[in-house]
Amino acid sequence: MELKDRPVHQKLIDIGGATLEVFDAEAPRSAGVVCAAHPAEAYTAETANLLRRVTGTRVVSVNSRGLGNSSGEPGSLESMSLDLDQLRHELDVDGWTFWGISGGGWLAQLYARDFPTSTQGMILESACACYRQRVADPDCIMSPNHASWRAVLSEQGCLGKTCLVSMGKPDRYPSRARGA
Amino acid sequence: MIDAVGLVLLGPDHRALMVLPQGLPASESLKRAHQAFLAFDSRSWLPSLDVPVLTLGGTDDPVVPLIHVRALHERLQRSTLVAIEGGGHVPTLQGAKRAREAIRNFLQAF
Repeated sequence: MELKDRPVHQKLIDIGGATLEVFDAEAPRSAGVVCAAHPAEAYTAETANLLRRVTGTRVVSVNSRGLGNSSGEPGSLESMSLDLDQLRHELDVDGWTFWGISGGGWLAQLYARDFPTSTQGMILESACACYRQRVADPDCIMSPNHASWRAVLSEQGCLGKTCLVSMGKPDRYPSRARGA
Repeated sequence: MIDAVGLVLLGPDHRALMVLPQGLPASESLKRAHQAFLAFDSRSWLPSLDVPVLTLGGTDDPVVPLIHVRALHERLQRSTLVAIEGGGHVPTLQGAKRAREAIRNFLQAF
């Protein structure tokens, strides 16, 4: 059976105080389990299947509290990380590689800090270390100072120096001209 | 303004903190969550993480410009950086072959 045709199991796992929705995409290769979660976006069976096709491993994608069919309200990033390790226990997984995509990268970083023995590795894709610093960068489309928004926000009187001053300018960054 | 921009999160001084372009999550709970996410800053403790890391980014990512991905990579002691030329936000999900190969190779070690 081809990997894409293998089942993705939707599970509702009780972690004590909440039930988390999990899409468990099985794989024949026994080595390695990849966990994926995002603090503000719900994953689906299709997401888990897509990630599995990339990794070739079992992928467990998790919806944090309040996302998808997970119960409760979204908590702090630290509490989401704690939930994920409780979930790992419930799934009887010894350790996993955390694939943190975009905002999921914050969860991955926190999880690796708080549960180092459960973290075999991390894939940090399109992620950053400091959100505040990122949205202060006019090159980031989420920045009020981005060229797409700056004029209209300025007209509305809600663009001020605070965007760059109170949120902090990027500190030691390498030259943008450097090649990748 | 909201229609043109998407959603603007304002700080207590009524200045814009950040913009959520249309198409990004914007329910009430997620608006609150984004306010909380703005506090995330791992720069001080990233160097203490002792796990292998694959750090991926696209050179043309407008959401997380590569400079921020590179800054993340440089604070991690065991990171390998793969920058996908011409890649946007989340190059793997856009089908970037090099990103997929990098992930497969990274996972071979486990």
